[in-house]
Amino acid sequence: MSLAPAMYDRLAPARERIRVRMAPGSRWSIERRVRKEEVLTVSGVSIRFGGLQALDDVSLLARAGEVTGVIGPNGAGKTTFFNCISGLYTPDQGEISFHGSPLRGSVVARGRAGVGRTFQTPRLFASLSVLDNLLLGVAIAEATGRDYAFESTLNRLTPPERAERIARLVGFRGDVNRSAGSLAFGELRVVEFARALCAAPSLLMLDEPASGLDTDQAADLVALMRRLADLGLAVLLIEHDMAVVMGVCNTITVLNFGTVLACGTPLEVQADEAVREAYLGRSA
Amino acid sequence: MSVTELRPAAEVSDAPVVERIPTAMLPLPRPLRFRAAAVRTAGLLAFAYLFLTLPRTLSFAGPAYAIDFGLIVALAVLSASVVAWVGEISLATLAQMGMGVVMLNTLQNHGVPFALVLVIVALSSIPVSLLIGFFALRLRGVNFAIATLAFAYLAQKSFFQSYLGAEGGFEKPIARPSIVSSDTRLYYLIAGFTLLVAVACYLIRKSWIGTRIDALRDSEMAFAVLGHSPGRYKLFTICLAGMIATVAGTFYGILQQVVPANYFNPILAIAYFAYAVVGGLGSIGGAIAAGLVFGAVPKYLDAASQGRFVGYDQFFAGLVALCVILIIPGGLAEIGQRLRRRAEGRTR
Repeated sequence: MSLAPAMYDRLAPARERIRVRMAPGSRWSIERRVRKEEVLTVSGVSIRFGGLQALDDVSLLARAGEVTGVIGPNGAGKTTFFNCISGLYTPDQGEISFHGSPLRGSVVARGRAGVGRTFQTPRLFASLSVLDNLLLGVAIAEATGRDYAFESTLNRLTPPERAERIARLVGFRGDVNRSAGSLAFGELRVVEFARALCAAPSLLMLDEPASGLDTDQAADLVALMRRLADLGLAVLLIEHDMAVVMGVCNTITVLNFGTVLACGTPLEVQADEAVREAYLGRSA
Repeated sequence: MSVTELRPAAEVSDAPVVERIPTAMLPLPRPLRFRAAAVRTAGLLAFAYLFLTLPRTLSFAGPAYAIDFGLIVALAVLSASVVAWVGEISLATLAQMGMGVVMLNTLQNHGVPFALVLVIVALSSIPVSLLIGFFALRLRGVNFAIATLAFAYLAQKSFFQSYLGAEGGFEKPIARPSIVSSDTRLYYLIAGFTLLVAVACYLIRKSWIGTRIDALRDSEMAFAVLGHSPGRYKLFTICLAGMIATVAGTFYGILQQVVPANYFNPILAIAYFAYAVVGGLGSIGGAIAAGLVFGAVPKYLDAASQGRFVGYDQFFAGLVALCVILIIPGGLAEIGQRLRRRAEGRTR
């Protein structure tokens, strides 16, 4: 439908108002509106176990739509950091905010709030089937009324269909009625990842998800993490495989002896002299 | 692929989707299906026959008292086994049975009709179970077991010894309600209740609650991180176990009528837990079978040997427990499963 010239002229002031309102830097600007939401803000977290300062003034920001890497040598405090976020440990100092509100309460409350995680050693419910493992995640999504931000069509499926679809999504190709206790290590990782996704988290914390996977599975996993992030999930990743980390992360925080050694994009971290010395090695 | 379109990796991959169906899940061949159905029907009929006629069938070996006692022990063992569903060991089973006896006496003294007594006794177990459950929220494993044992000792020293005394210190013996005036009649009441509890436990195991309890036992940390409350399911399980033990105590009071405090010696709870292990920890049928083996069989042997077996019941229990644990670690439940598989012609 064409607009009459007179009408077009009459609407000129309105068009101008809209143009001004949406100008870069203004309140309505496109860049502002699509600005990635800060899902997790960790500021100044410290925790001590006896004489060991496991974390010292660690800060980090995880945004929706981004994969944030946490790397560091063994014993750097990466898993301790995850445990502080998921409520398994209570930090001595510091603040953790989730979607702008302080993240407090029990492990259960944080899980129900949308903090999902996997473990360094997969912790599946071995006496249950793969499907039952996944349905326990789906039950949380149902109970909390959370939608699957990364795949809206999942909300229309029944819980078992949803669980099976997510299992296929993460690359599980076996029988979902099989006992979880009979899975190979790589499958355990994949199913644990699927279980965490089934709960429809807004923050997904993955603790070394690629370890124990073969090259193809690791490549699929990287692609999946990237896609999940692109679809609005905030992903926090601990990983030792540098190819995975550099390939998938938007920002990386490097921990060493519980302190933040560096923080930035993969290129910035790779170029950081302190990181090269402490972690990647001189020749990197 | 567009970022807004998320397809399963299995779909986009060139690799074929491998569907592995475990052998155990494949449907049985038709002749074996008939055989399995026949075995199950025969088993059900035999069970129904025994259930209805057991005191009479075993009357040649001894009085109905023996089987009544065996069923009460079975309930106590089932209570210990139910706590094991969440991976914990409770040594407060005997203390909770003692509470049942005391509640029964109190309610009888207040003239409460017998039909209501069982309901009130079952409900009265909840506060004590919640107290024990509070330990379970704070403690795990051996620490929880020790806490329940300490609770049992506290109950013994502060409550049962003053209330029951060394010779069953109620002012008058517990009266038997008219509907259970004989041991045979009492058998039907206890057996009916045991059947009801067993079916209820089975349905719980098969329900979504059972799935969550299994998950909690497998990994409490993963269960909590996912957003499920371990405390809720632990409390539920401990309350269920407490209810079974307390009602078992009530039946014990009706059967014995005079119950001294030493009948609830906390150390006996270790023996009951051992029975649960021999039955197959967590198994409903195994717990009931173990209760009958360790509760009723010594009494029958005692009667058959005209008293010469008295004092050897613990020797008998130890011998059976040792043999079962050494030969079949899965306990009586595993023996039952093996026999059933063999009768049905299954190889696994």
